[in-house]
Amino acid sequence: MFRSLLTLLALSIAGDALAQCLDAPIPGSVVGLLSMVLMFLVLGRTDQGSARIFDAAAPYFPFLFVPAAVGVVASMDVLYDSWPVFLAAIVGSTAAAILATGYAAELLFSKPQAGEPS
Amino acid sequence: MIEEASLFHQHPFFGVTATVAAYASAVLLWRRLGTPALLHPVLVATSGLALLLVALGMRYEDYSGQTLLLTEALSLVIILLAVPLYRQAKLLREVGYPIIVALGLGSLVALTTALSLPLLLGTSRELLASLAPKSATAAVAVEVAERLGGTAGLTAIVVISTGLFGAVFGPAILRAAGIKDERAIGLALGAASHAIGTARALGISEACGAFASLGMILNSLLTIVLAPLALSLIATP
Repeated sequence: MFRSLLTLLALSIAGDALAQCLDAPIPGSVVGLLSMVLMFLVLGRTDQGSARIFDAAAPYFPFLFVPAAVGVVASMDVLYDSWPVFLAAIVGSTAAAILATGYAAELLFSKPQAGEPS
Repeated sequence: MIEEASLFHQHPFFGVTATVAAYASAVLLWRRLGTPALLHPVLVATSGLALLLVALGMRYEDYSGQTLLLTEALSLVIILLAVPLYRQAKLLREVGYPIIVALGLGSLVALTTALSLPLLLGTSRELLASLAPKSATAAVAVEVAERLGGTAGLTAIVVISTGLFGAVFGPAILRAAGIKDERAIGLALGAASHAIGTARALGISEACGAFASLGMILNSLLTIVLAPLALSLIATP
């Protein structure tokens, strides 16, 4: 467990350092994610400790997000002035994205079994 | 009295204590009321903490300083997404091409539709950057928004609301559109409403949840690439 925690923290620091050095367009944490996937590919399976950390921590991910969300107090004026824009993005854009992804996926998934009646 | 209060909220543990207390109460309330979407614990805890800061006259900078480690841990959350990504990788080997094409399209639609109205109304770059990553998973969205000049707080509220809307109305929208393939439903819910949509998809079936999980992660990765591109195309600061 501690070894996996150390790996996770080291990947985070190394990812940030690498992204900064290369002036990469992707965040350091994504470099860390890709490195961890690479590690699993080399192992041929997920590292048990990392999987256990993920499974234990996943239910608490929303909690970690609260302090950032409280930052909205600094932007209440923007929210108040542009609420129609927010509403349109949350309702309209989300519905559009769901439909686009769903339609495309259903169409493409059904292609291999072309003989099946739809 | 004022001095006592200021000492009290200057304690290095104050921010984390208040956050834990607010979130725990919000979860309790949410469960007691039968888990209504509008009262999602993150929204309730956030409102409660915002009111608390105002009541105490505490600056957000001080609170965010005390809770910095929690926020920084979001980058560990992103790295840990390697676990579900690797677990669902076999789906990519089986039906990789349809998944990538559908997600690419969905990601583009999410971006363009989210940005079109604010563009027409001529809103600020800050607002555009905060809206662009709205379908990505929270940790990624905040990271992307901040890099593009958006505001973490606004992005957070938009991302949570997007997740809730998709999770609550998504299945009905897909049903009305005649989409029945559970893999397509999962992919759409995960791609458009990230972790909250994925939780909803897991309630439909295990396969639906697996596709949602994959949709969430891959769409988040796509957002990292597409959001800066879209903003650099439309915004000339």
